[in-house]
Amino acid sequence: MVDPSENAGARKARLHLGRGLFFGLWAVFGWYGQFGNARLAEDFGLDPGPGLLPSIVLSILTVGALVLVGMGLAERLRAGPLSIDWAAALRGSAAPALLCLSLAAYLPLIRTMSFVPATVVYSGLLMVALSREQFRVAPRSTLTSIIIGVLVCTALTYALFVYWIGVPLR
Amino acid sequence: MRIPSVFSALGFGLALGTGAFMAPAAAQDFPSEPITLVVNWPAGGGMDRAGRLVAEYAKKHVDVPIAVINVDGAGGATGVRHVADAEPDGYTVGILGASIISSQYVNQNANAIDDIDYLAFFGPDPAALEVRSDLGVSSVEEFVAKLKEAPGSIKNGNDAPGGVSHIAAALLEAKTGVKLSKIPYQGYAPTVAAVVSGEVNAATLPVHQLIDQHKAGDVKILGVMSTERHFMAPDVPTFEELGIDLVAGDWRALYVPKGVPEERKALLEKMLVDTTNDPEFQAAAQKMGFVITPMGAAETTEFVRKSDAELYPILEEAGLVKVRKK
Amino acid sequence: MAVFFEFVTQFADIFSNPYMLLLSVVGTALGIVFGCLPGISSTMALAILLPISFSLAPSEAIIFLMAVFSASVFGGSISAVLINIPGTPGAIVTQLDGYPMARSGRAGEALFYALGASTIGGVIGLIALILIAPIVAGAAMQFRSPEFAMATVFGLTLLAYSTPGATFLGILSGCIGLICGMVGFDSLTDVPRFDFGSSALQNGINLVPVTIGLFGIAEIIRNLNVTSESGKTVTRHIGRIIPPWAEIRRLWKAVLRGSGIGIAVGAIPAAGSAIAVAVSYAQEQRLSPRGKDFGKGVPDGVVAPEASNNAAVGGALVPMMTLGIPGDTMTAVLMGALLIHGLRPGPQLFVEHADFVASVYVGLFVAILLTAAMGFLLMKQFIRLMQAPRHILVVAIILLCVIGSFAIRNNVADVGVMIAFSVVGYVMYRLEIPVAPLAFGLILGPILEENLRRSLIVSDGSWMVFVERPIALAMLLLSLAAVLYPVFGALRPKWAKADVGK
Repeated sequence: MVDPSENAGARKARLHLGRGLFFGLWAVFGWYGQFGNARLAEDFGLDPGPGLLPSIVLSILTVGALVLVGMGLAERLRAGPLSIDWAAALRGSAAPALLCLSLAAYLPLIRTMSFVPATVVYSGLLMVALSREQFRVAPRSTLTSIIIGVLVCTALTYALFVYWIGVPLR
Repeated sequence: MRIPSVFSALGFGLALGTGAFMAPAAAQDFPSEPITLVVNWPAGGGMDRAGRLVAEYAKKHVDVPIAVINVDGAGGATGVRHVADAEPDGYTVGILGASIISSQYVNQNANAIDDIDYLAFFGPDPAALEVRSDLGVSSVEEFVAKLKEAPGSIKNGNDAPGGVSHIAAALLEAKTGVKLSKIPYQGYAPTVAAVVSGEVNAATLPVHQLIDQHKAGDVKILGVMSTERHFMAPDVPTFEELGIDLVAGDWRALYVPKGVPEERKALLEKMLVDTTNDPEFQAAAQKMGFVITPMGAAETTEFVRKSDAELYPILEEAGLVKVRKK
Repeated sequence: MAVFFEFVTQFADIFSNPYMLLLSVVGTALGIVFGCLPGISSTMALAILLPISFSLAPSEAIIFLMAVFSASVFGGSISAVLINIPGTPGAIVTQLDGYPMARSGRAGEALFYALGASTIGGVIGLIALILIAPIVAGAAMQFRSPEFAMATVFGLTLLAYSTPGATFLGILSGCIGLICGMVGFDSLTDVPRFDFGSSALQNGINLVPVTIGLFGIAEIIRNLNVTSESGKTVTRHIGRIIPPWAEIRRLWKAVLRGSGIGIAVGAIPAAGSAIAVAVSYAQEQRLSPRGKDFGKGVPDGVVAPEASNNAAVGGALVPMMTLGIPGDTMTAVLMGALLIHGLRPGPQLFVEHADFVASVYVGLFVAILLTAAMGFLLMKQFIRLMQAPRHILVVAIILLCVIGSFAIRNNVADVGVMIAFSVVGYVMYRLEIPVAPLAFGLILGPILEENLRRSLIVSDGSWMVFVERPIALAMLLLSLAAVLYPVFGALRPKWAKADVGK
C-alpha cells in the first residue's frame, strides 16, 4: 500500500483515519460488551466492582479514537482527497488472508486424519505454495528440499509435542 | 496405534526413556492406547500435582502410559467440559475438585455435577481457620466472641466468591452467626503472602498452606473443618469437637464422560482405587500434604451429591446461584 | 563461612560424580529446548519433568530441576531473537531489540549478548540469593495490595515511553491490552466480562497465543508480502558471533541495572519475570545513551531484560527458600518437588538441612555454567537452522505457532485467539501503531486491577491508602515524576537541543 506518489499530508490523513477506525472498533465492541452485561451493575460492597476499570479504559480508547479521526479529517481538508488504491490493497491482503485461513484449517485437519498425515499434507502444501518461484527455477532441488523439510518438521513436532509432552493431537 | 512405526521409533529415541512406549496389545483389550488424564487447573498448582502423582503411581496398575494434560480456564469449568465432551471410550479421564459444585450455579456453560460419571475419590483437602498470632485470639471461642463484639473487625483472606476457601468462610459465618470482612485473593499463594504480610488477620486455607507459620508461632491454626484431625497438625481440634457442625474445604475426585462402557469403567475404577490404596502412593502424597481417602465410584457419586445438596443453600444465601436455580 | 564451605564441597561432589553431571547436562538440554518452543513456558517444562524427579534422590532431583528452570529462561530468548516469538513470557521484551538485530544480520551477536547477560544476571541473582536472601525476603513481605497496585502503575507509566515519538498511540495500544486482560471471569467477583456469552471467551485471553500471533505470525505475514511482491527470497546473514570487546565493555552498566531490577522484582511474591523484564527494559531505555534507538536493534535493549529475567530466578527463590512461600508458579513446582522428598522450604530448612540448602545453590550455579556452555554450542546450531530454505523455515515456524498456542492450555479457542491477533498485529503494523504496549497491558492489567480494587476493599474504600503507605507513596511519586519529566523537558528547550546534538 506504500505508494511513492502519495504526498506526506495524504499519508498522514490515511494513517490517522485508519488508526481512529481501528481503536474506535475496539471501543465499540468494548462498550457493547460492557452495556450488555447486567451483572456489572450489581452491588459489590466496598469493591468498586468489575465495571470500573473497563469503563475508564474504554473512555480513554473512545476519546483517543475520536481525536485520531479528528486529526485525520483536519489533515484530509488540508491535503486534499485521499489516494487509496483499493484494488491494490485488496490484492495485497489476499496472501495474508489465505495464510490465516490455512492456520485455522490445520487443527480440523488433524482431527479428521490424525496428526502425522495431517502435518505431512499441511506442511507439504504450505511449502509448495511458498516456493512457487523456486519451482520455476529449479524444480528438482526444490522438491527434494520440500520432502526433507516435511519429514523433519513432522518428525520433530510429533516427537516433541505429541509424544513427549502428550499434547492431545492424535 | 495410529502412527507409522518409523515415527514411534523416533519419538522413543527422543523420549529419553521415561514412560515405556507400549506395543499395542490385542485390539479388543482395554486399555491398549495411552490414557489421557485431564487436569482442570494450570500446570504447577495443587490439582496438577495431585493429577501427576496419580498418573505416576497408576503406572504400576496399568500397562499403558498415562499422559497428564492441563486444560484450564473459566475457573476450572473448561477442563471439565473438555472431558465431558470427549469420546466416551475410557481413554480420557479427568481429575476435578469442589469447584464443580459452585461453578455449575454461576456459569451457564459449566457442566452440572450429574453430567459426568465419577470413578474414584482422591481425598479431601479440608479447610481450616488460621489467625495471625498478633490478633490475640487463641481459640475458636475467642475468635467468635471478638467478632460478635465488633462484627467485620477481622479481615479474612479467601478466594473470590464461589471459591473453596470463600465458601469455607461463608459456612463459618453461617454456623457461628458472625460477620467477617472477606478479602478476595486469586489462589492460595497470594493469600498466604497476605497473611504473612499482615494485610489480613485470618484465613480459611487448607492446613498444609500455613503449617510452617503455625509451627513457627506466627500463625495459629484454631480449628480444622473436617471430621478428623489433620495428620500435619494433630494438636489442632476439629470444629466438630468444639461443638460446631462445620465441614468444609476442597476435595479431589477422578471421573470420565457419560457413556463409557461399564466394563471399561470398572477397569478404570479398579486401577484408580488400587493406586490410591497403594502405601507407596500414600506416603508420597502425605509428604506433599495431601490427605488420601480411597473411595470407589458409588461412594464418590454419593459424596458429590451430598455436598452439592449441603452447599446449595449456602451459595443461594451468598447470592452465588445465577443459573440452574432449584 | 559455613555456607561457603558447604558450597565448595557440594560443588566438588557434582563434578566428581558423573551421574550428577549427566543429570544436569540432560536437564540443561531439555530446559533450552522446551524453553525455546513457543507455548511451553518454564512452568510447563518443570511440571512436565517433575514426575521424573520422583524416583531420584532429593539432591539429584533438585539439581535436575534447577537445570531445567535456569536453562528454560535462556531458551525462551533464542526463539525471541531468531523468529520474533518469545519462547517463555520472560523473553517478551528480548525480541524488541533482539529480532531487529537478527534481521539486520547480527543474530549471532544478539544471541551472544543474550547468553552473556543471562549468565552474569544468573550469577548475580544467585549471589543475592545466598547473601542477602533474609534481608530481601523481609522487605518483599512488606508488599501488600497498595504496593502491588502502585508498582504496576509505575511499570505502566514507564512503558508509555517504550514507544518514542508515539506515546499517544502507545497508550491507546496499551489500553487494548488492558481490555483483553479483562476478558473472562473477573478474578475478585467471578463475574464474566466481555464474554458475549461464549465459553471460548470465558476462558480469558491468554498471553501466549496473543504474543505468538502478534509477533510471530504477523511477522510472517509481513514477509509474505515482501516476497510475493519482489519475488526474491531474503538472504540471511548471520554475522559474527562474538562482538568486539569495546562493545561488550560498554554494556556492563546495563547488565548490572537489569540484574538489580530482576532480583528485586523476582523476590516480590507473585510479581514474576515478565514484570521484571518490562520494568528493566523501560528503565534502560531512559538511562542508556542509546535509548532513542531502542526497538531498532540496540544491544542494550537485549542485555538489560536478559540479565533481569535470569537474575529473577535467584530472586524468585528468595521467598521460597527463606519463608516457604512460592512467589510464582515456577517456584511452586520446585517446592512441590522438594515436598515430595519430605523437605519443606522455610526457615527450618536452613537449620535442619544446611547441606541441602547448599545443594540448591550449587545446583543453580552448575545450571548457569552449563547453560552458558551448552547455550554457546547450541546457539551456532540454532543459527544454522535459520539458514534453511525460507519456505521450509516459515512452515516450521507456522507449525510451532499453531501447535504451541494449542499446547499452552490444550484449548482450540486459543488457536482462534492466536489467528485473530496475527490479523490485529498485521493491521497495527500497517497503521504504524506500536504493538509491544498491547502485550504489556495484557500482562500488567489484571495485576493492577486486582490489587487496586483489593486495596480499596481492605482500606474500607479510602483512596488515601496509596498515600499513607510509604512504599506505595514513593512509587506513586516516581510514576508522577515519570509522567511530568518529559513535560518539564519540553519546557527547557536547551535540554532538547543538547539531546539532538548528540
